[in-house]
Amino acid sequence: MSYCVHCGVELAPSEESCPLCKTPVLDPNQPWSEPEERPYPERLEVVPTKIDHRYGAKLASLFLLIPMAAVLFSDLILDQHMTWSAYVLGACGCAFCWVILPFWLNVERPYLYIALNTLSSALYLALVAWMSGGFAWFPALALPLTMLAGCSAMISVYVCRRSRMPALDKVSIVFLIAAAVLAGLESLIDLWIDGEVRLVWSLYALLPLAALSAVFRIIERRPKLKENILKRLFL
Amino acid sequence: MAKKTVGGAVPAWLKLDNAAKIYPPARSHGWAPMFRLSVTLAEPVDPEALARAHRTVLRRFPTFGYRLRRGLFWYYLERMNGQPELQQDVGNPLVRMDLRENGRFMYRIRYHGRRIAVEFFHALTDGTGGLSFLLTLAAEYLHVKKGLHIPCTDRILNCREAPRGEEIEDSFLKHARGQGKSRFEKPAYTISGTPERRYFLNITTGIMPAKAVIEKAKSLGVSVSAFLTSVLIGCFQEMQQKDPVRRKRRMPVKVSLPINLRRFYGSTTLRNFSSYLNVGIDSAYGRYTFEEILNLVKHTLGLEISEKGLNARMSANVNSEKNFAVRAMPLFVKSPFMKAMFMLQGDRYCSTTFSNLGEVVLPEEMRPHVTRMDFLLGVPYRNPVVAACVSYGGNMYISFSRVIREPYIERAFFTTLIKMGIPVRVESNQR
Repeated sequence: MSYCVHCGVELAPSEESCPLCKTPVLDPNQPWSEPEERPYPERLEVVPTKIDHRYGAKLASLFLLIPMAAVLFSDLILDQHMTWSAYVLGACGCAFCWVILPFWLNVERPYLYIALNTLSSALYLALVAWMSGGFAWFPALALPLTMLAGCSAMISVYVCRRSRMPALDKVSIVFLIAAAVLAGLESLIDLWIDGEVRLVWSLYALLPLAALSAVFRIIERRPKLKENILKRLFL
Repeated sequence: MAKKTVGGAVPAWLKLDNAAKIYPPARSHGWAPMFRLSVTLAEPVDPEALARAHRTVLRRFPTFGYRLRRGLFWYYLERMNGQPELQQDVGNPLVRMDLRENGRFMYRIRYHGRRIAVEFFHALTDGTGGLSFLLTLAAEYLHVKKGLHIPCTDRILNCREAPRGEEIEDSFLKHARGQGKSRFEKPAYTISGTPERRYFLNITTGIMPAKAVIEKAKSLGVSVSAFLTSVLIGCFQEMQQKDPVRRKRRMPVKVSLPINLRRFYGSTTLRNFSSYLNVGIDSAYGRYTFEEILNLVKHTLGLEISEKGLNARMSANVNSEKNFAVRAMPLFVKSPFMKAMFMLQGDRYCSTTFSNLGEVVLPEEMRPHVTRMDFLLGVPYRNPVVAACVSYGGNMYISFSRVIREPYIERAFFTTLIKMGIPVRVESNQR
């Protein structure tokens, strides 16, 4: 018989390491060997998922190819070269990145998805700008706005995924990010139209959001007040 | 309307008992409330003999041969023929049972080496009913395999007798007196950790001499359940103090203790007839010493485990079931509502569950052929770690089921027992 040097428990012959602390069994007098019978067999029961998301994503991608092919052929037959179909193809590409790709990859990678979505949106807007002939608005307005939306989404996800941060602090920071996005949005539009920044309409949303953010931070730091609110709002 | 009966005493259909009503709507694709009981024999299991014994036992336990069906207002049980096929055991027991794949039966029998295990969907029965089924199956198996004649006890039923009417009754409806008691409590602390891979339940069993545990509990002036519950609460308190979230550090730590109601009412039903009691400490008031926890648990159990208190608790559930508005609501409306209630409230008021089936005493003829017993609980909706205990043959088997990777609680629990002078041997399903 072997004992775990950390936990002090006796280990059953089936245990190659302590199940409580993962310390391996190192008994020079009695090296571990596979026992004749383990308490549980090796075979695991596999439960097939009723909805195979990956298969569904592949199927959806195939379906998406149908309108893409249809518009491309129509455009090529009618105009002899690609014109309006580029818009549809670009939109389908965006839809693939936004909706289908997360199911296809089947892995939880929010930052990668946000980066891909930002990139696909920026590329689509660049395509629209290039196709419409006036490319100037893309680097001055569309690209910064897309980057602003992508960055704010990334920061929000980062904040929400921090397990150690209290929930209300997370809400407070997300509200501040939303306020900053609105201010950034108006600034970029102002810069594009007038060449100078004059915050007007965004203030109507920015101020309440900032105030709410402060309220949430205060509530998080006052347990009695929080408890009272929870008690009264309890369902 | 009188229910049509099969074979005289066995109705063609049954209403779900009061405790079982919540389980069918609450289950999901990945989760169902389940538990598992097993016996380890002295010799390897013969599947053919087991199948024969199973056929005989199922006739004696007719409620186990019902299937779950949807009615207009409630789920109900419908009698069916046949029996579920025996299965080879797996390394990840208590995976959510697909009733359709299991021939619509709500239990499954698995064997591995010398062990016979039965996994039950909780809508079918509780621990006591399940234990009776397993022991009767083991006794009948020994009869088929070795020609042994095992005398009947309160837990081993005579398979040559016809099922009795009181074994299929809904004892909740029979014994509830109507005056309910509020079920509201303060939400309890819940341990968190890294989620285990899907459909894998970590099982760690601690085997210890029952005598050592009983003597320790006696020396402290409490029952075995109170002693083990106090140790468990102490372990959760240790974890809670390290929790980075301040709000969680101030939540109560409570252990849910299932209570067999049969002993209060002399019921012999084989369906659900158990209640529960959440016992614990309120960490908002500070850190408790082990003696304080022990004292609190001992007196809470003494105060709360009375026929009157338990009746009021079950009456509250029965009153909800009898409420006209609830009854008149169609199932397709009621079902999501009940599921939502279960998700919000279910095990919100406890940090874990500790189910103690007590000591299993087998007839002398059976003892040399049964070497061990195990009891496993499936994890509830919210709490990732639960524990179950059963004693047999001078040993106590405490099994922890866990769906997080970190074995914080088991480690703290077993090392505490070792520090108290109780030797513990552990085994697990992890590789």
